[in-house]
This record gives sequence, C-alpha cells and structure tokens, in this order.
Amino acid sequence: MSIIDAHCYLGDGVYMKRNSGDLLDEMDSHGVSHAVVNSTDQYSAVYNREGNDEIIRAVSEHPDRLTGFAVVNPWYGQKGADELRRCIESGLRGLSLDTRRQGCFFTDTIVRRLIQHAAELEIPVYCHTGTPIHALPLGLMELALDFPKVSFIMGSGGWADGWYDAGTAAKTAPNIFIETSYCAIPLIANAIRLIGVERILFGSDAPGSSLETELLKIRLLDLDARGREMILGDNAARLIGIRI
Amino acid sequence: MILDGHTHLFSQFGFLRGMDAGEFVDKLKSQRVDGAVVMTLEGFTKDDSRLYNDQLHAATERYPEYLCAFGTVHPRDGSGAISEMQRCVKELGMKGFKFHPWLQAFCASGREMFPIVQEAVALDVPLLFHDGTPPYCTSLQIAYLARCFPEATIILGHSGLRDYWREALYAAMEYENIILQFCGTPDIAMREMIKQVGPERCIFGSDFPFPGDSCIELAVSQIKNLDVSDAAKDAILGENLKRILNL
Repeated sequence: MSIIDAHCYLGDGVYMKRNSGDLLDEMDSHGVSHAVVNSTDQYSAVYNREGNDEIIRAVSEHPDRLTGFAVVNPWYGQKGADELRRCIESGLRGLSLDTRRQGCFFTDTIVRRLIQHAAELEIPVYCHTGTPIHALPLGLMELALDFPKVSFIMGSGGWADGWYDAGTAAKTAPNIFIETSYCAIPLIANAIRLIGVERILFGSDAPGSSLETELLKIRLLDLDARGREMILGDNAARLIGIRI
Repeated sequence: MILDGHTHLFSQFGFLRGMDAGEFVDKLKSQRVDGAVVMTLEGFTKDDSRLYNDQLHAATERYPEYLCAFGTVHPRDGSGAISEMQRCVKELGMKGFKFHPWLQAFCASGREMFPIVQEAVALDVPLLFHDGTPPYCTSLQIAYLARCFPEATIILGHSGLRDYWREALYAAMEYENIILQFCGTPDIAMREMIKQVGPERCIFGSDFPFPGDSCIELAVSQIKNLDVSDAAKDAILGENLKRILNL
C-alpha cells in the first residue's frame, strides 16, 4: 500500500523547521511514499516567493517523492496571482492558503479573486481550518459553493472547536475534502459517516504534528482495508494527480 | 506508572456514547492505565452540578484505589458554587475542580471566577481548565487567574491545543503556578514545553473517551516518542500528577 501525506511543511520557518533530508528520512521510516509540501510561517504570510522557490527546488530534486503547493497571501492581489501562475508553471500542483496567518476571510473579495486564478489553472486548494476568526469551516463552505469546479482541502478538518461545522461544510459542498491532521478519531469517523471515505485525506501537518502520531490514528480508526487505503493514499493520488 | 489526569465519565454527549463506571475502568485498565482523574462532561451543560458531582463520587466510591474525581460548579451560582466546592472536597473527597468555560458559558478571566479560585486555594486543590479555544478559554485568559492568584495551582488542560500552544508556553514561562497538561497538544508544542519549562510542570491526560476508546495508546505513544529521558517521561506520565494531587 502506498501512503501519501497530503499535507506537511518544508522549510526554515520561524517556528516550523524541517529540511528535505529530514523529511525524506521521516517518510522512509514510516513507509510514506509521497508527501505534499508547502512553506509556512513568514513564507506564507509575507515572503511567498522565497518560500515557494525552496519548494520548487525540493520537488524538482525529488519529483517521485514530493509534490509542492504554492503559498500566496491573497492581500498581494495581482502580484499574488502572478506568483501563483509562476509556481504552477515551475511544477507546483496546488495553492495552499493559511488565512489564519494571512488575515482574511475565505469569503473576502481578495480571496475570491485568487481562487478564480486557481480555477483557471485547474489546481486544488488546501486551506488551513479550525482557527477563529479567519479560518473556519463554514467560510470555506461558502467559498467552495461559489467555485464548484475547484477542489478544496479542509486542512485539519476544522480542529479544534471548528469540528462541529467541518462535516456540515463538506456535506453541503461536495467539492470539499477533509484532511485529518490533529482531528480526534471519533471526529474522523463522524466525517466518514457524513460524507463517505472518498473525500477524506490523510495528512500529518508535520512538524506541527508527526507522521508517527497521525498514522497511528488512522490505524486505530474502525475501518475496512479498502477504506484505509483510500484515506491513506488513493484519494490524494486521484485528487492531486500523484502517481503511486 | 501511567496516571491519566484528564478523563470524562458520561452517558451520552452529542453523537458520543459514554459508558458506565465499570466499563470505563475496564477500558482504562486494559490500556495499562494505573489510575485516573475522572471529570464530568454532561455536567458542564446542565444546571445542577450537584447531580453530576454525585455521579463522579459514586464512581470513586466504587473504585477508590483507581479513580479520583475533579468536580465542577457553575461560577455564576455565587455562594451556591462555593458551598458545593466545600461539599465536593470535604464530604466527597474530591481532589480538584474542572472548568470548561465555553461549555459552561462564562469567561475564564471573568470576575465570577475570583471567589472560586480563592476557595480552591483555601481548600488546597488545583483547578483544571479546558484551554486553547476562544473566546472564553484562551490560554492567557486562564493564565490571568494564575497571575492574580499566585498561590493557586492552575492546570491548562490542553496546553493551548493546536492554535494557542505558544500562548500556553508563554503563560507557563511567566507564571510558575501553571501546570501544562499534554492532552490533545501538538507534538511540536510538547517538545518546546519540555525544553523551555522543564518536565516537572508537565502532566499527562488523554481526554478518554472523547478521542475514541483506544485513545490512551495514541496519547501515551505521543509521550513515549518524545526525545527526552525516560525519567522525564515517567514524571510526565504519572509522577508529577501524583505529587501535585498528594496521592
């Protein structure tokens, strides 16, 4: 079985630090064949280009192990849209928003303009969720309903107290996928009950959480073998276009 | 030795099925837990905390060697809350109190908490708070109580969760009467807290059975996987709580 970590970080963030050597070692020791990476901290807030360049370099060095998403702060407007297009032309495969750090609502005009570019580029959009005031599931739901052709990944399924709305949002907007980092096991089970296993993606958010912790959670989920395979890799492979 | 400093005994809460005390203790024992602090969940949302404190007491009476209880009261009940705190400690033998400000609809830093904290100091028991979620339970709202009452022992029940762990870490560095409970706390936060605060003020909790009946294995493995000495792991998994509660 191939395991894909659908969301983790790479780079020299102020708080989140991980280089590609350590990342690949951790993947190897946990049987993870592929990881979707993006930058964080100062790189997602302000230094988008510097962060993206490091991701572009890492995925070009390890194309069979890593897929990269671009970070763009919606406040950069047209400059941000240009950066997104540059990243996609340079080999990145999606957009990663962290409105908690970027300071805007999912429903804001500046976000919608950026998502319009993601729609034209036909790329998936990862969104950190669970942090009030700017990163809650129902905001993402409204955005997803307005862009039905864009696939949105609801990062950490609204964890912590946003979980109440995570299932509701994904049930209402069929283009929302739920990523499992931090989510307690019964909350993942609840999401599966509401939307099925097809739209659940395993992710670690490492180095925030860890592959060890997050994989153990999926193992402890009461699920058949096929369901586990889908969550651990097949769903992400299909959505993001990763060959496994 | 594993002492679980954060468990909830309840029958039903939303879609979560609880269990009776017998099943509760069996499941904890089967996951090699040597003792647990048990708290209510339903009691946070119902008017009559006495009823739920009595339920916890019945469980600790049945398993006195294994369970000890943290009761709860509603801070807005004023003098009624104070007398219930006295009953819980003096008559029911409870070891502390748990508050869940957003479920109980009060602000952790609000004035109605002051007499509660004073009473806890008089009774010489710690106060454990749900923390890590706005608008009523951010780690610094709870730390404000620790600041105002340096003689109180204040436990941050989740050490900030994912979004407030840096605040929780800051609070523990600033106020020595804050205890950090590793319960739903991210791995990166636990590593930083042990490094900066030291393992002496870190305690283990699982939130059983909220994160699933098998959550102990997950929670213990998070501690065991930390890159710290075995002595530090033992302290966090049980010895610190034993010391804090005089067990």
